[in-house]
Amino acid sequence: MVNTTLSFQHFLHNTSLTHHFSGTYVIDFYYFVYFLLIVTLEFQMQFMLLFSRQGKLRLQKWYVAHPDKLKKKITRELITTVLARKPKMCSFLEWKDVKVVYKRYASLYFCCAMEQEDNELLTLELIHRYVELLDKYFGSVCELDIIFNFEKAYFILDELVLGGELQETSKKNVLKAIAAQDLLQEEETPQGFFEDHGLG
Amino acid sequence: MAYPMYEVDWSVLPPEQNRRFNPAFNIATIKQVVNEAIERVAPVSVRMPTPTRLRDLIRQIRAVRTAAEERSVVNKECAYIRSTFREEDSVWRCRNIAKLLYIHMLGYPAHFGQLECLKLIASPRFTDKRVGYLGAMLLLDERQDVHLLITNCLKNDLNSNTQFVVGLALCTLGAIASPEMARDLASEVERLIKSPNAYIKKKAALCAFRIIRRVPDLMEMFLPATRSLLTEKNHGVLITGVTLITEMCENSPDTLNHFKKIVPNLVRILKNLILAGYSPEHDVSGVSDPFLQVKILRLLRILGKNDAEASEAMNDILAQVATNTETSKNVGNTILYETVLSIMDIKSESSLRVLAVNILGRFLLNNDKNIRYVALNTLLRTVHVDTSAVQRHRTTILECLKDPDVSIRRRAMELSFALINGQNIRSMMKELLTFLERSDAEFKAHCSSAMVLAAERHAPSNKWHLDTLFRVFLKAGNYLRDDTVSSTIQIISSSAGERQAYAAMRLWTALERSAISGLATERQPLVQVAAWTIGEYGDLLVSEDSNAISMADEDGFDEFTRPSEEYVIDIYQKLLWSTQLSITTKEYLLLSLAKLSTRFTTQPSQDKIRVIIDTFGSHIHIELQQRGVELSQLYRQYAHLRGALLERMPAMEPPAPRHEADAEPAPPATPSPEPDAQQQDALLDLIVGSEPLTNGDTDHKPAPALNNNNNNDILDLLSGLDLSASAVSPASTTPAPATLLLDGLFSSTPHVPSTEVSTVTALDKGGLLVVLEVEKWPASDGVTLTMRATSHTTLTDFLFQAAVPRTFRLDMMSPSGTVLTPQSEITQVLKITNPTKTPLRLRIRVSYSTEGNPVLEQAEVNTFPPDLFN
Repeated sequence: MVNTTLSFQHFLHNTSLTHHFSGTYVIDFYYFVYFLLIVTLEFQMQFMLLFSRQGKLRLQKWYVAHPDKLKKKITRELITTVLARKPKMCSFLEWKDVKVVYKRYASLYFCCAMEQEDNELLTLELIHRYVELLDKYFGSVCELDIIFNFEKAYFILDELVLGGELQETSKKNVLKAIAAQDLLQEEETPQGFFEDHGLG
Repeated sequence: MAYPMYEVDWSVLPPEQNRRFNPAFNIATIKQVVNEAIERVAPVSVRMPTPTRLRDLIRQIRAVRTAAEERSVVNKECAYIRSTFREEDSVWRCRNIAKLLYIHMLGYPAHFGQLECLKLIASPRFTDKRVGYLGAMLLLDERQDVHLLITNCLKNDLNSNTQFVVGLALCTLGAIASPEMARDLASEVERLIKSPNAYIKKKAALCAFRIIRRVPDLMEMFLPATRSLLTEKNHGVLITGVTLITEMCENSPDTLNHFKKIVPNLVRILKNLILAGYSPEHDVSGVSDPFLQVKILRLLRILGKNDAEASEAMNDILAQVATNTETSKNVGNTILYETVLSIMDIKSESSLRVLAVNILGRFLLNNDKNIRYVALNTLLRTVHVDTSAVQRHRTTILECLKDPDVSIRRRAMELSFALINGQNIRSMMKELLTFLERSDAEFKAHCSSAMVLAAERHAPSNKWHLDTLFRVFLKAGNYLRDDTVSSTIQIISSSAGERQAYAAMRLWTALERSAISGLATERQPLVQVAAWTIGEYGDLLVSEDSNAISMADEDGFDEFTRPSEEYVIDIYQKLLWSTQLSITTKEYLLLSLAKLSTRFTTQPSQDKIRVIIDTFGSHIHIELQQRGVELSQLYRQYAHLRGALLERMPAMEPPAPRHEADAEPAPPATPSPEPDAQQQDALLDLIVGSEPLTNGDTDHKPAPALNNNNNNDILDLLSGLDLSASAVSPASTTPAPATLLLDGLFSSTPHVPSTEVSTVTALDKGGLLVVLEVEKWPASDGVTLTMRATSHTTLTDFLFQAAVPRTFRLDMMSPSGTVLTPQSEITQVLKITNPTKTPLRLRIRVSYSTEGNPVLEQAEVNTFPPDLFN
């Protein structure tokens, strides 16, 4: 038997009690996973989403393990909820079991799901720090930069946050690490016929 | 910024064929062109055409107009990517995975790229590794066994000479480590924490953080390396070190004590941060490294909690932070917020606490919504420490109830309830009633039940209490919790006679208006209470003797006009014949009408009542029809009984004091000595009992004890000659076997009832007791668990959830209810099948609200009898 909390398969959630077949309620697998992961693994940050004003997902980073179906469900619901909020409202949203901290920069929404007890204002600072880094890296960043260079946006995030916790508070160090790795990549990419063997 | 990487016109192709010239270039043309080019230039060994570039694919997808078009582009590309994977094409694997990751973000399945990510990770090229690890983090997680395959690659890369390769491996480990992986790689991580390289050190520290989260047992091995992290100068190492220590301290009290001695170190680091001059590297709007400051403040809070000595050591620095931090920007407020939380949590000096509450007061008045939200949130967390200090901000808090932002309103509401006391209840309730009226549906249920509780606890007078309850009934409508109806009826019933007349008159006004305006459907709890009250005290309602009772409300208005008997009946008729009211409400109305027949005296009203009751003799709903037939018999054969049967209810007894309910979780309904009360009880039982029929087969409460004995007899027969089992069986106290029999009938599961029953306590906390009765199935591949929850206090929204390991199958029946009172219990049946016969472990989660506060309890139950599945 696999001895992790993650291997628990069946879980019953009240909101899934919609179908009633011969006296047995069908158990909604996804609510089970949702409960276990969101509740039992109290990561500082559970996930981070970037999405546009049109509701298109631009980046998603999950620090908790969910099935794809559930991730999509959460993403969809959260995007709708956040987009429905008016600009004058506060940046915090108590949503299901998590606290969502979001901020809009131009056409992009940056959205983090945190633990209830976390410092919401600091999360805003974290989002801002990430935006500053993107801005420095791309040079006045816009949504298109993130669409076309999404992998770079991930690389930058991974130098800032690890496992849902902040790992570096110096902007300079993050950018230095990214630049050095970009250089490594460039050095080994053969230039010439058909330009490269990289991503293109 | 332009996109030099893909906008530059640089190609071997002639300009008219340059595929990068036009972003919306057709993929087929691109492939054709590429193929031609390869034929022209490339050696024969290139088997596959060059795949579409990542940026070109993105451009193509962005150029489509419809979702169907996008799907077709994506499907085509996915098919192509799959084919390259099949052909083990390693040259373009990296590019293909990158494209797949983009497709994945659009919401298409990309699991077929998982193994390719592993191959990329194993490649010696850094580009491959970088994209491979990115793909692994996005496509893999600890739920899939595939992730274990990268353990070896991770191990190799953790030993790499290139710091960035080590960094990538650590980052991935920190994102997807499962317990197995954590165990395998913990020693590598421990070694890397001691690395002299800060870049690796900080990442390793956070990996250790993750590893401890997944496998707390591994904490010991990291302890020696962790302490030295705080002596570093690098802020990345410091912040990750503090994070790791915080996790360790929250993990075990022993470690917490072990780390008490670092308080002076933390204080020193914090002091240096505040006093140090401007450092461009870590400055955020004039504050030096707010991230690190907040982390340290949080760790201080954990170390100083319930520890006078440690608190003493940090008093000064907290005061310093609280007074020296610049508050014009969000950053400063971030730190102040954390400082306030720390001050309130540790054993701080009283002057410091005053300072903290004052900071919150300033926060409340801040123009920034975010700061106001945080202030409300913090006040709620500190209100139990110092209520009077928070009371000073009451007006501001009540103002926040009107905020357009739902997040702020929710916080303000919670806080308002925490602030209600005997002195301010009148004004608070007035504000909350206004709030209740305007609030969204999601708030109404919670808000109204909290108001009912607050009114019960702090009511200055009985009249005020009733008035408030009636207003809540009017404004919360159908969102009101069910038990409020019975508790209100109980209050009216035990009031003085004059007050009962007053209640009848008030409720009449509300009922009449609701009926006429057509709002009765939205206010069914109100209709139920009004029907009961008017039925009981209808004579006082129509009698001129009640004129002496003042009906003026707080503003001096008297809206009451005494109705005629016939008019009352007309309103009843209107409601009873409405199609919108629930059956339960109609049952209340019908019984009330029958009662009115002995309260009212004029002949026309008597005739009307009789006609209405008779029409129910042919009602489509069986329950109402039966009531109709029975009540009309009281006009015919048993007319002589009517007066005595429909007499006024005696004053109901207040609910038993809560602590007395301990000994007996589910006392039987106390039969009242008065015959009419018994009849009323019986009728109420029917009213109540008619509901559960619709929502499940596991409601055991109506089953009388006699049935259980019968069932046990059957059980004994079925269990054959196993005398010992039936002798030890405590089944006589449980109705579970009955359920099992019924389940067997309904769900056609071919099992026979069990032979053994044992009890396991799953949760015993704060007066809530959850026990599981375990019953083995004779076929020994499964058990039936009956969950019984009892409590010393009233809990609402009670929800029991359970999870079993993957090898088991769990079926849960519906619970018997969601409201747990000291007098009642909630039961729920779980059926677990276990084909592999491994020992049963069960994880449970119980959530409920008590006095409006949601509570969540979790536990793992593994004390089941070991031979359960033998």
